[in-house]
Amino acid sequence: MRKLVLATAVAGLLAGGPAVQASDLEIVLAEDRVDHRTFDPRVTQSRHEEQVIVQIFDQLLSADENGNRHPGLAKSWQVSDDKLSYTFQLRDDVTFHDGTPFNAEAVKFTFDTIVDPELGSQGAVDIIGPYASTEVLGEHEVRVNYSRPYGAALGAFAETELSIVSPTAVKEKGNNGFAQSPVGTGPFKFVSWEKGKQIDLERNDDYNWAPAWMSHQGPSQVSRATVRFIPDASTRVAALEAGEVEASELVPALDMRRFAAGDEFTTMVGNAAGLPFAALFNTSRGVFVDKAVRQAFMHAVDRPTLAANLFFGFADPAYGPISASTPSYWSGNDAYYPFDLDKANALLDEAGWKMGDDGIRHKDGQPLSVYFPALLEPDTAVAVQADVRRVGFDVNVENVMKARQDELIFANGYDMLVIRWVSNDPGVLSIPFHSRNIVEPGKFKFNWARYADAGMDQMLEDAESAATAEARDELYAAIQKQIMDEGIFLPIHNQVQTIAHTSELTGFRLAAGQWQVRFYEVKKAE
Amino acid sequence: MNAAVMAHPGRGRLTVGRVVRSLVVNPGALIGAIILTALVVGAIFAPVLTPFDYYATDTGPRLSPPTTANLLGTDLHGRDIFTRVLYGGRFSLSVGIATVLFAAILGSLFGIFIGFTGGRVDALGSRIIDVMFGFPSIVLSILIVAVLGVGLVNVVIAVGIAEIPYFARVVRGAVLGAKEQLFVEASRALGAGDLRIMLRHILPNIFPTMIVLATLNLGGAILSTASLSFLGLGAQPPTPEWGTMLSSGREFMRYNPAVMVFPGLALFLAVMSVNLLGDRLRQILDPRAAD
Amino acid sequence: MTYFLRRILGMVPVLLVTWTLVFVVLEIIPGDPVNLMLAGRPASEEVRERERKRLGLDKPVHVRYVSFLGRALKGDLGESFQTREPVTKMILDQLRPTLELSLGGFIVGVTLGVILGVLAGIRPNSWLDTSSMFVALLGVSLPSFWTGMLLIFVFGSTLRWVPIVGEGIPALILPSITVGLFLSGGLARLIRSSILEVMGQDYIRTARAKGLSQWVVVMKHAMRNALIPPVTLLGVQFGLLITGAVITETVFARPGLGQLLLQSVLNKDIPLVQALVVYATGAYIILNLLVDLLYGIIDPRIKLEQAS
Repeated sequence: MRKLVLATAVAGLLAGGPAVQASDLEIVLAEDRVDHRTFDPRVTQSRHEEQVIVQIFDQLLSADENGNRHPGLAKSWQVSDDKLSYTFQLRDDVTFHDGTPFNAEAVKFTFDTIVDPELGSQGAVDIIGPYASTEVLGEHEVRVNYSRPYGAALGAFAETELSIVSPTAVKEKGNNGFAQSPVGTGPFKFVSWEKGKQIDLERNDDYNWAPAWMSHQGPSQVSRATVRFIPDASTRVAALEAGEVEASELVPALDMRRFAAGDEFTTMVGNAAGLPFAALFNTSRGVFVDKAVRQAFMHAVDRPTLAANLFFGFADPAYGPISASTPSYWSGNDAYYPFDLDKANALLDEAGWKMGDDGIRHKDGQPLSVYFPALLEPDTAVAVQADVRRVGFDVNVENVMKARQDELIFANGYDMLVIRWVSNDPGVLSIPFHSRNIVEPGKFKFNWARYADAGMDQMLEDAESAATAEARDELYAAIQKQIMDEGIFLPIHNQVQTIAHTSELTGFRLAAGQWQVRFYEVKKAE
Repeated sequence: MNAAVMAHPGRGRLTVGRVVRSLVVNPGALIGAIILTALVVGAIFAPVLTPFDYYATDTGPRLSPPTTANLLGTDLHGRDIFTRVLYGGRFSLSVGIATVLFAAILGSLFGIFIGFTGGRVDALGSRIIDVMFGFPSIVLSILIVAVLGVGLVNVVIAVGIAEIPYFARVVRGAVLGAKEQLFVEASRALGAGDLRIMLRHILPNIFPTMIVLATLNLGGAILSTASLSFLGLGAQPPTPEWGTMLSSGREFMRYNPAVMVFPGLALFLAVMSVNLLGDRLRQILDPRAAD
Repeated sequence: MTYFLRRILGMVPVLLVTWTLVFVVLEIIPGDPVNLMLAGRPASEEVRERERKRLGLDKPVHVRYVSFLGRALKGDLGESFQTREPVTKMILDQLRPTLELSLGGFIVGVTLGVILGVLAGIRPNSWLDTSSMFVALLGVSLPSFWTGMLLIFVFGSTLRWVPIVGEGIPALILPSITVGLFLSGGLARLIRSSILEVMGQDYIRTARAKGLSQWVVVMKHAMRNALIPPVTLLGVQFGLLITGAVITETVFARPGLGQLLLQSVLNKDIPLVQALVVYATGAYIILNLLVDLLYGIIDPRIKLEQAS
């Protein structure tokens, strides 16, 4: 027997919000990065690429900014009793930007190609989980089968990475071509990509299948949308103030504070779910092999002060392996590693590290040195460096680019690295903590702590396929506790997406995960 | 070798005393000397002149303008900018000097080698010097840092290599000139080896030129090394190198201009004073090269 | 004609030396090109082998060297590890903003340099000379990244007289001043000494004796000849312009070749770095040939044959 999970049916068409008259609004969003490589949702693992992808594509389920799931391209769905199959009834009024109809074949094509190694998927292939196959049950009905129960499946079908792509377009352009000019069913069509400069999108005039929870139906008020890549924060702010762009992401905290105080601009803060901005300690070499040293380091970092000082109230300190806004967050995290210099000193004394005259601890003639290549947030690295120096750590920070960091990761040539990850699912914990994700030659992975524990692996796998929400929460709580007990992960602050836009516009909405901004509902303020 | 007495053809003997006196009577050089001395003294005696460590955070309110406690204000981390500018001299000035020394030594060796050997070696060597001259030095420096990795030492090597041709060309010319001079011939007649000839006769002869060249290049070297640090290729946190301070202060200059004004001013004054001294030195020691 | 032929032939060793240097440097750079190419994407051994073959990395060094030289001559320098676009296209895309910046900087630099140099040169050792040369000294001593930041702070953020972002002439003003100041100091000194030399020549003395005013003498007679040495140094200015571009583009967060170079080196995008260096040397050589030509135009007395 199948259990009916949700059957609000054609809600979008019948009960949707008022349709708004299309206007010729043009907006430009200033984006932080320039190094986009693909706009194929099946391939990407970059939140910056997804900033474009969320405008172009729809998913089977639609998630709002708080991660609540609603019908999307699927009107309704059922889960089999053995939790191995998910059946979806699809909307029959949807077409891709290339004019071809959205149907069961498209869903099957999308999911089958994600697991095909030829595609080189980086994000979707993990998110889709233990995928086995997709059966086409009818033109607008499809069943997805798993090889083992996958509790995160419904959440996964709402993730941007599992957006449905146009099979015709993929076949025509090839995978690489599709990555350069994607075709979806979303409210905006891809127009052009000037590499390193900007992406141009235009309104999909046929768009009449917005999820019912959105504030209006029909095509967007925005006729043209541009995402311009401005990697320098001060320049983004200058561009916003000069009217060159209507909105900017990643606005520095001081500018946010200034904008929030005035009328000209409106600010919006996203508290991203997933891994907070954190440091992973390398447990395989150097001083961090010793758990006591890792724990001392964590006690020495004054996270509340750091977050307050660097983010001026726009980011909260983080205490757990996932941020508090992620499902299955364990509240026990909050009690771990409070700022305590005495505790840190005691731990280091006990571990045999003696304070030298230069304020750096030594043991057996070796200094307590830590090599910290910092890819992101150089000022956070400086604050951590200064904090732990008070208990005798000599942290060598090197501001690195990605190529250098990749090289160090492959060579196991670092003591700590920063990581962050936007995800609505606690399953994200597998990415840095499952032992299968330890980097091997030629295989880039994210278990940079190089932490291998069979118990942890088992719990992570069990949690993914947990049958009930309670069992799942319990497993994820145990996982979080072990990570904190082991002291391999230093949560620093919640990842915040700081958006400022001109007050002449309203309707900017954060996508699920609270990082990307959706353009669909943007309109002129009254 | 007696460095206090420098032989200079056609000009009799120049003593250090005379050089210093001529420097002092020139207002530009005097200003340069005073500023440079102040910066050097500040760098050396920084621990006495300021109560803070350059890496100490929260020495006052964050991004504070100049106050009596923080003479030049503070940066994002509450570090004292005055302290960091003083200590910064240690890094920025010594890196510049090391770069010039590196270039002068390697350049001289190369110049002496090709100049003295002559023939095809000289032709090829001169060609290489020409190529290096024309090649945009920042491209070369960035390439070298890419190979060696970031850091101040590697910046010294990178900028040093790019400056080699300046020294090599002048030294080669001097060697060729000196070779013709009688005293070399005389020494050779007496059976002195090539190396001895170079060291005993040519080096002292070109020493004044080298001093001028080194001083003239020092300003540029300080600028180039600071530029690479500004681009993120040099000093790493919390090193208070001036170029690095400017690059990390860039985002916050709107909220506290002090983070950008003072490290830049220190860098500018250092380069200017070195250039003022260099100009005057050139007039004194190497009148042919002067206007 | 033979002169140009000889000049061009003379450049062959220069190109060869530079290109060899680039090849060697990038050969010893740490890091596996296949990893860089894949940029963190998971890939099987087969995929890695295929990439290795595609990049020609399975061939011995000398074969790759010869093939690199061949491709450099043809202008086909492969595709970027980062974007997988042909590097030549990427460079052409970024050429415009850098040319605009260089041109703007050059105009500011030459204008300022000539004014200062002439003011200083016509009355040597006057207060005008001293103050002009002091300004020139400031020009060579100012770190251009600091000048840029000061200009942004004062005229961009505080007074808001000029835009600091966007395209077009207004947004080009501050960056051009930054590059121009950097160039003007050296140029002013050159022009001053050049004028001093020319003013001492017989024909100038004759002109003066004829009762022509100081300015007429300077502008009509002295300038033309005084410009020769600075023009010959245009080649050196090219290096300064590139330096100015890297720094100024960073300070003003402008796109361009300088940024492309810096990012390609930091990202170890080897084909892109190779291409940038190969084209930079090419441009330098062409520029030098043009300068020689200019030399002949400004001073027809100099036969090209002699100039070599």
